[in-house]
Amino acid sequence: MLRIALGLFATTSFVFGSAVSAVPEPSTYLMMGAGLGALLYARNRFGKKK
Amino acid sequence: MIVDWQQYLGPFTVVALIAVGVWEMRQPLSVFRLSVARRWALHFGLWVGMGLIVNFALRLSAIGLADSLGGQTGFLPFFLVQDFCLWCSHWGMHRFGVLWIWHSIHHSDPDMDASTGLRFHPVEGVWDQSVMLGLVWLLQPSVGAVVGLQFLGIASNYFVHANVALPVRVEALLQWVLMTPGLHRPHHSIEMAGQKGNYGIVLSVWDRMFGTLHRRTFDAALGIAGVPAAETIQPLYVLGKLPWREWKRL
Repeated sequence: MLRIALGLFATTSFVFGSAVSAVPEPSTYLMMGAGLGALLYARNRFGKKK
Repeated sequence: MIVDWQQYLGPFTVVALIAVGVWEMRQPLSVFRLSVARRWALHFGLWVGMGLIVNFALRLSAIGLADSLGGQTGFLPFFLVQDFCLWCSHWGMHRFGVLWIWHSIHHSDPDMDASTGLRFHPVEGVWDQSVMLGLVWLLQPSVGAVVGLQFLGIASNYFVHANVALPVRVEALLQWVLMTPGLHRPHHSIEMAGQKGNYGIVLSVWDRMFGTLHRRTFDAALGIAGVPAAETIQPLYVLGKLPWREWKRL
């Protein structure tokens, strides 16, 4: 019953392909590592010292 | 045009963190007590471990389940129910010892910035993902609603932990509906009274409804009383003992 009630608000404006896991993949781990490293460098180089 | 939005979740996790990190560089709220490099290395390690263990423990993601169920519940109702359930879950983590011991890893951070949003014990990740799977099974949302919520959850997680000083009027305006850094920071206070409130994830309305919203200032020091700050940036095999220590303290 709850599902039917909530279904009234349904939106299907986007189409999605085959589902993939939302859990990070190896490439995401690499990106995160590189991103944090770059941010750390920027902090040390340009960050405001309060 | 068909867009596989879920393929951007991983990159968004990184880009959003970097964006908030740059914001923190420009408008820092407080000076960090500990080495940023060591904290971030630890948080990165926890995030990697979380991903691997959650993936191992729960092969079926919320997106995959929603796709297989083919539900049509829209974003707004699913978001409201999910945010309330996560509020309950967060309240429970501060109420029941068996949940607190895992959540204590997150609260042990003596500094707070967007990377604190990566600092979770994998068991807590499994718990959160289980709640999400249960809700997807029960409410049968559309895949779009689940993916949209994942994006919102990531952005909100970084935002509330950000070490930034929002303009006072903006902060006050947002607090009517949303959790903000100014509301979430007292929740991380070393003072126990501060931790017993402001449980909201995205919305602040649940705390307002249940009388757990507090705005008064608490001890500015963050972390857990009795856990020395230096211990909280130890390698994972040392920090991993914290839940057992908390269990003994209960």
